[in-house]
Amino acid sequence: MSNKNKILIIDSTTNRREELCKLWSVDLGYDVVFSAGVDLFNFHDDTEVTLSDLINSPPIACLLHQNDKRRYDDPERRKLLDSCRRVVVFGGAGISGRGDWPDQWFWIPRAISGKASANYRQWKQLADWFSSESPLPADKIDLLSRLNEPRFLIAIHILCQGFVVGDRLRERLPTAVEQTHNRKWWCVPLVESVGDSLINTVQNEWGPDMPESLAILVKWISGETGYENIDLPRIVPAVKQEIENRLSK
Amino acid sequence: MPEWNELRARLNHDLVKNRLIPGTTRMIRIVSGSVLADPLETFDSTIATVWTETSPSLQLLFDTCESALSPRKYFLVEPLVHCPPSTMEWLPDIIHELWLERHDIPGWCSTGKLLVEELDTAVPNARNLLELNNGISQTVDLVEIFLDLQKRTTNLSIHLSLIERKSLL
Repeated sequence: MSNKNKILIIDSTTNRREELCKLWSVDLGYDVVFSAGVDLFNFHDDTEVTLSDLINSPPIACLLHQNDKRRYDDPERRKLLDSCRRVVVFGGAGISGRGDWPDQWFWIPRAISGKASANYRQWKQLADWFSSESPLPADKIDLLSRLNEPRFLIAIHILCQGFVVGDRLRERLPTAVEQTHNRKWWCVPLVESVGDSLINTVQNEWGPDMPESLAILVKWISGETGYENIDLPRIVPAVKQEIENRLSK
Repeated sequence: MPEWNELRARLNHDLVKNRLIPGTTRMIRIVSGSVLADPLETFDSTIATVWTETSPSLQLLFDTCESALSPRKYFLVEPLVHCPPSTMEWLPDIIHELWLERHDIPGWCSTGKLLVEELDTAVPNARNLLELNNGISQTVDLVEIFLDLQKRTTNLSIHLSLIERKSLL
């Protein structure tokens, strides 16, 4: 029997799964068992593994793509995933916040498209963390702490820049003025990601003392009652400046 | 983005600040006669080999800066990945242009490359002069050469620090 650490990789996208399996097997020295959805296979020789065998000798970790999360609904598979020491959910387009998965699961909150999504050091750090008996807290692991980047503040800053530029370049970008003054333009990228919790997400990224201008803009984007009519040409440049000051601290 | 900055910080901290600059200080002491050591051997171990390792990585760093740091990358991930196609048609390009102009990224890269090129010449020149002076009493010229080399490596380090991530939005 192999003394290597074992990992289970569940991903129904073939290319990405193969890249990840190769990375964990060849580069990181793990025994890899993979599943495209239903059946389980050893990566090194493509032999099938039974679910019961794997439950009896569970992997120390499981990497699970967010689109394959429904596999957890099956009671037998749930038993298998629950037997893994750590489960990390990852997503092709990035995951913005914690999903409806068990509290003890971790997630990589930004785009993970395959092996090249992170550098070797970051993958190695995750691999060592999986196998460690006295591991560092998850927020010390680069791939798991991507959550800390103020992505929504950056996104709002970029959208503010678009608004200001759209107004300035009316001739070059004739449709931009109309687009950027429309709530849908702001709402689609931001609200699509977090739904009702946009204000909380932005507040968390900002920390204490969030400026009123930013709060007003976010409430307008979220469609909050009482914020239907705001003075965008006045508020947007102010928000842009506030975010620049905040992010350059 | 973090990987590029990690490489930049590592090259600056580990190689330029902690090896090359102290290497030039040591060489100044040796050629001025305040420390007794073999100048050529010390030069090779503290400067020449380190620079051989650092120079290509710095070239790559400056060559990849624009693509690695561009805020255009934010459109590939949450939440801006949800922008509609009509926005994607113009906003990423405009944001990239604004960023280039605002921070003079091409200027920062070309100055960085120039500093590397100058060191690519200065390091072997210093070695040649050391070889020529081998066994002869140390000259003021050599001190000047290493003071100049120290100034160039310090300038390179300052230049690498100018592009901290916080100033890139």
